[in-house]
Amino acid sequence: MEQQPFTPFTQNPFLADVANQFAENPENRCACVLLLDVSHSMSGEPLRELQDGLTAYRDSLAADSLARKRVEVAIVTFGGTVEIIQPFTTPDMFVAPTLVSKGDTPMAEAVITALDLVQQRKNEYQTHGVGYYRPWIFLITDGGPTDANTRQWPEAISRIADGEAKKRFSFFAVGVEGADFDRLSQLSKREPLKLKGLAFRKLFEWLSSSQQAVSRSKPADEVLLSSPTGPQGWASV
Amino acid sequence: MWRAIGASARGTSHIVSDLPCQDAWAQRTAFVGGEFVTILAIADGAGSAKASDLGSQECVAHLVHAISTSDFRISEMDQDVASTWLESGRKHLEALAVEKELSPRDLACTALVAVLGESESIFFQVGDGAWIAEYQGHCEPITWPLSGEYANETTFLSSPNWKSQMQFRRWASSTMSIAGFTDGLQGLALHFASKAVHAPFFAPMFGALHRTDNVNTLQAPLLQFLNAPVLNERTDDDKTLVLACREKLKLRHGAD
Repeated sequence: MEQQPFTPFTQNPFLADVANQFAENPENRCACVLLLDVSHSMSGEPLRELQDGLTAYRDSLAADSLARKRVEVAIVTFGGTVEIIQPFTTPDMFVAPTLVSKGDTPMAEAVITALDLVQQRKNEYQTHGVGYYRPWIFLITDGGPTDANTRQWPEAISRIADGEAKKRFSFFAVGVEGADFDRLSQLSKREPLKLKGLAFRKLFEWLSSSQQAVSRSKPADEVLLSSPTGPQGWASV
Repeated sequence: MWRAIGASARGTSHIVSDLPCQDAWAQRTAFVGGEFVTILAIADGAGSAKASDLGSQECVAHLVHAISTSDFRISEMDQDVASTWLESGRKHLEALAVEKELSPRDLACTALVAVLGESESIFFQVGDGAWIAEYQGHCEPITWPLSGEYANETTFLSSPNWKSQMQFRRWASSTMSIAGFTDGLQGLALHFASKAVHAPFFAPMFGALHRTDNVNTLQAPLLQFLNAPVLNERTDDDKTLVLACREKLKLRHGAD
């Protein structure tokens, strides 16, 4: 007798048709800390462009069905003081906070705050059995550290070096025109990138699409990030 | 004796990116060490590896053949013996790579093996996916998906650290049924926070398996299940599911 095909009207014995047939596990997470320089020199047009870029970043991630649940963004500003203006939040749950500029540039302290945030988040993931991708730390500045003569500066440098060597996170530094690239080179294992003009929107589009790719990557997928430099890119060499 | 059914189905993300199904599975039953032994092998090819569909197919075919033609008793099989079989799988893939002018990395895949005996079984694997045991509706994990620290990392048979990442379990198996699956299903079949099996996923499977007189009639529904929209809404990866249970004894009444 020929095997009867199972149609929607014939119950497949493997489909229980119960609400909890499939386990609900939390989504894998991709943690990203945005480290934003809001020192006095950023005020005016740079801050407006950065603000716009941030909004576009959030909107772009929120429009991606996987990234909106998986990418978690924390925002740390440094300008006079270091403030965590947003804890890790998925794009479907936040609107880009308003940036306010003031003060000098405590970059070392900001970096250490970001590193601590990432480690803490990983501990939480591990405690709750949540899978995660390699976290990102993304620094944007138009100047140099005004706390480079404190013990925090060498601490920041060595923790980044150690973390990168052990693949604990990926740290990127982006300098706007006028930034202290020598200092940024000390800090970042990867060559610091120079923003073309105030192309924050393009930078954040790149970041969003890179993180969308990570959010859907499977074991051993090489996530090829498009080059930020080049005519279509937001960075120049 | 054991009876097994299984199926591999292409994931929707593979359809979209025009990749073949990179999962594979195989089974063999042989009389070894004085008993009937059923060998099951499952493999999941690395997504970015250009010939990992060939790698996973060759891996499972080689493993069931190599194990079924060996001379052993399950009671004497330990992790060292299991690792020599995996090593032979590795070598087979390396030789294949040379023959096809590929690198071993192009054939990269995970490997999950079950050797099922009358009273004892052994399970071993490299990479993610898992084996689970079922006893009268109660399920527990035999192995657990091993990934690296990050969700998009796992160990493959071709990885340099495969041996240190290998899992090996010996299990008393006279009253149980088992299932094995690749990572495309693990998020639906397991609870990661509590490291437990999601029993409702398997209840209809083992229910159907235990009720039927002929497990082969469940082969087509199993494949259909793996391609069901309700499943593909929740996973876009390749899926493999293998189910095995003890054969029901058909008692013959006295002379007719």
